Amino acid sequence: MIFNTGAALLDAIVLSVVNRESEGTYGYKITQDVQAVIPVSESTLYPVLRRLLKDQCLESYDQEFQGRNRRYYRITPTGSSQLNMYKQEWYSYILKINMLFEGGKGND
Amino acid sequence: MTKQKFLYELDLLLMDLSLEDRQEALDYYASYLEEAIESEEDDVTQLIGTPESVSAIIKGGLSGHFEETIELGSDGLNNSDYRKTYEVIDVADSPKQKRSYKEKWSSLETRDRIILIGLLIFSCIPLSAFALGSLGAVFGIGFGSLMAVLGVLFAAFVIAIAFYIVAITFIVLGALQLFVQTGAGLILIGCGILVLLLANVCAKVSFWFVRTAIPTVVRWVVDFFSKLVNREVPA
Repeated sequence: MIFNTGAALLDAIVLSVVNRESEGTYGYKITQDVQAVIPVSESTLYPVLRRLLKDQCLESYDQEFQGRNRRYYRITPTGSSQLNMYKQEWYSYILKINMLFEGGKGND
Repeated sequence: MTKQKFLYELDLLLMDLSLEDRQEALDYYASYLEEAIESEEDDVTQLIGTPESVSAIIKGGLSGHFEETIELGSDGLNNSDYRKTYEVIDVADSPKQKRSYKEKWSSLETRDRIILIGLLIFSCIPLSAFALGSLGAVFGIGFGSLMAVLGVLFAAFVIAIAFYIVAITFIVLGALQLFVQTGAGLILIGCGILVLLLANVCAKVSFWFVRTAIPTVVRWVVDFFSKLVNREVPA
């Protein structure tokens, strides 16, 4: 991909990935799901998840899986509204870009 | 690099974080690697990057640099742009030339501190030996010269006394001989007077030593040591 992904878009993508799993999902799976959409390195998502937890967009809980502890992340109401805000911003953003590409004016 | 070694090195690199932040990050990556690898011997750096790059990512996130300066490139956060940006900020935040010795000392690892102290002690051994040796040499020269002066004085004194005894013996024997053999008696008395003159010279030399040379030398020595002491402990 030739376009860079900024921190806000990365937040939006992670929130969206976590939002798909109502029971919550874990670090490795989140990374795999994000990697299916955009290329990120395996070690990238820790700071993102940590920040989203701190901002109370995500919550975490520990659960045993095959004899070891696994940390699950789940979206919070704050995270949901944040995700909706990101979606609206994104749609208006790509709409303007699309219109520009298709020869229209971006600001009508 | 195995998972075990990776986590060990990451733990070392995160030593400057709070215990809570460190434990949280280590737990995340330990659990991540549990899922990601198939065998304990897998090379995890192929998968996740080196401990250094992962620790840079963790610290970048903690310090807020992640949000402000980072754009994900097509090869993800693990690209060189990220590391360059992070290092530039890091250097600008803490200019090396402004760090005090105290800060430098506290930023050292325990192992480096022990090596430094060891080096200091080792370099002190020859230095202190040299200082002790020099002090000993100064004392030795001082003591030796004092003994030499005393020796000359004693020699002059003994020779003077011996000459006086010889002179008196010659004069007494010469006086007695005058009645037996006048010529021989006169020669003996003459020799006695000659020796008496020599004895006087020796006595003069020893008196000169006692009155002039010794006080002068003692004054030099006393001056030298008082200067030494004054220099070490300024009044």
